Amino acid sequence: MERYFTADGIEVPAADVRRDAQGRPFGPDQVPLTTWRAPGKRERVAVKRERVARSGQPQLIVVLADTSLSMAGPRIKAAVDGIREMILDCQTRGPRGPGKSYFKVLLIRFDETASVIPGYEMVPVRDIDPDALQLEAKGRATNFQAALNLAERHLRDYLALLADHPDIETFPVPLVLLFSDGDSNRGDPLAAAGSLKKLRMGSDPVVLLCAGITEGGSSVNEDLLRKTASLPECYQRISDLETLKEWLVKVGSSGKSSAADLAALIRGTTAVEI
Amino acid sequence: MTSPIGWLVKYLLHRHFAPFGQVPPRHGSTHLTDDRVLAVDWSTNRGAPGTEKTRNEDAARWGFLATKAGPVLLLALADGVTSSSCGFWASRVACAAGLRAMEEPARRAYDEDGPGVSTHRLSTVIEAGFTGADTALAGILNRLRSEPERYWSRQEEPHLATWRYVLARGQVMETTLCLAMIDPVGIIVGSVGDSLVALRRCRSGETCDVVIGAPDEGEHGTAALRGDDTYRIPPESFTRALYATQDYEGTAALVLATDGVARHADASSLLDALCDRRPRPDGWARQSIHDLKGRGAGEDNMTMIGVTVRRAALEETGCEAQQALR
Repeated sequence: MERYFTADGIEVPAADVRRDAQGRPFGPDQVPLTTWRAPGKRERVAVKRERVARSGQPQLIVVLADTSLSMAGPRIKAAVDGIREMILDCQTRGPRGPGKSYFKVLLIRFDETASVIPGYEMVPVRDIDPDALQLEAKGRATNFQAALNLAERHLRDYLALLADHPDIETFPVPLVLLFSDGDSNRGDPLAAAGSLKKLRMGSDPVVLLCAGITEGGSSVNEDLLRKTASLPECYQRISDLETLKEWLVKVGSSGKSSAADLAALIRGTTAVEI
Repeated sequence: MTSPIGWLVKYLLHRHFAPFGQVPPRHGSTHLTDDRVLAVDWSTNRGAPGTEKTRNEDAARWGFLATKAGPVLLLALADGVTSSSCGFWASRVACAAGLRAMEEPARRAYDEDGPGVSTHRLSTVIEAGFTGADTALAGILNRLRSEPERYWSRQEEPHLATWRYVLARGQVMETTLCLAMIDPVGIIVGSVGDSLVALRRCRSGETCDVVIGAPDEGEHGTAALRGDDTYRIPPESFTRALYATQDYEGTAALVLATDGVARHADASSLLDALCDRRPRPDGWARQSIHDLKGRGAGEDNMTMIGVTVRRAALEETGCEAQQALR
């Protein structure tokens, strides 16, 4: 006899289990289920199918890097080191070999304008040479809106391509990581963030995480960044530059797909109150 | 073309371990019943084509050790960690070094104590095997670290920065390892990692199945041997799963299987299949693995060593081994 359980361990009556075209079971609330046989057990159980990054379905990581003049010096160096280590960490996930990347990376720099860094245009992470990364901080303004709008345009195209994918509910949700040491002094960043956060991969929204660099004294607008993030808990205060590197690596290569999971990850890995 | 690390490992294998065994000429399912087979060394790096894991990085090795107490069968099965560089070489090295490190203490134990060697002493033989495998992996990792550019495996890591990164973090040459020893009286098995280890023994007309190690359900956090001192497994947890029995009567069966589809397999079913002495049609093992896909295994792979032990036969230097590969 087959028995079915949700990921929370709640048993689903067999009569309530429906199947999709491939015969895979779905729960009564349309939660996808999968079956497996536990070692040493004869009964079959079902658990919720989770969004998992793998080579056939990589997770898109979008990094929005503040390159305004105030970031010059140790801050931009820490940011480059953090992005490089995030790429290195992402490269070590999963099996080796060409075409096996678990992640794709889109790197956008922004100051008064925003642009995609050449060589980081949504490319598989294993194709990136981490040593080649360079960023210069010499912009005269900080324009969150431009960065968020550019990210949204790329994400719309990306999500449209995957809209009809049969496994869209197990694809990892794209993550957008924005860090800055200033206040947005152009446009309407909250409107741009709201529009971006409405994008969905299947049934789940794109996740936006923000980090505000307060190290050494800065004019960072923490309240704005907190509201820009998917959840207030998805904001991270960066009080020292080592934390910026840790945040980029742990969040960027986490493979997690929900704002709640990422907020828990941030809470669990840093001592800074958010 | 073989990578630099490939040449290095081949050189070390040849220098230290090559005389031990032989390499069967082809992949596929094999049924070995030839009593004259005294040692086998087999590795496979072919996963399910067109899927994520096109390499399975598995290795197996077994052979008889002649002692004054009679023949003792030594077995090793290893599975390179997927997220580690050069896992294929790691599993080969671990099997070869593990068995080689077991030889001398095992021979000494049986020569001195006879067939009734204590479980404690046998466990020290297994631990010697794990220590030997770990030391061999550490030696290779140190060589790689000493000259990262010279031994840079471009097939594994296309960028030198990534190669240096994984070397620094010890994410190179990681592997699981199962070691087992079977004599006419007892069986002892140890495992580091997420292999399936299951034993069936008969006593007083009843059979008893024991699952000693089971595959992890998660993708991350597999315990593994790695050559890095920083991450080295403490000696007390070398044998995460250690089991010994000295009371089987007549027959026993032992299954060692790498994770892969084994995490969807039922240990009792595998033991049933192993104990079923009827002849198998060609491709039976492949079909059995295919059937597991229906249980959620997907396009994965598995390497299994199955051993059925007939006490009388072992005493006459007879043993039957089956290996199913995909």
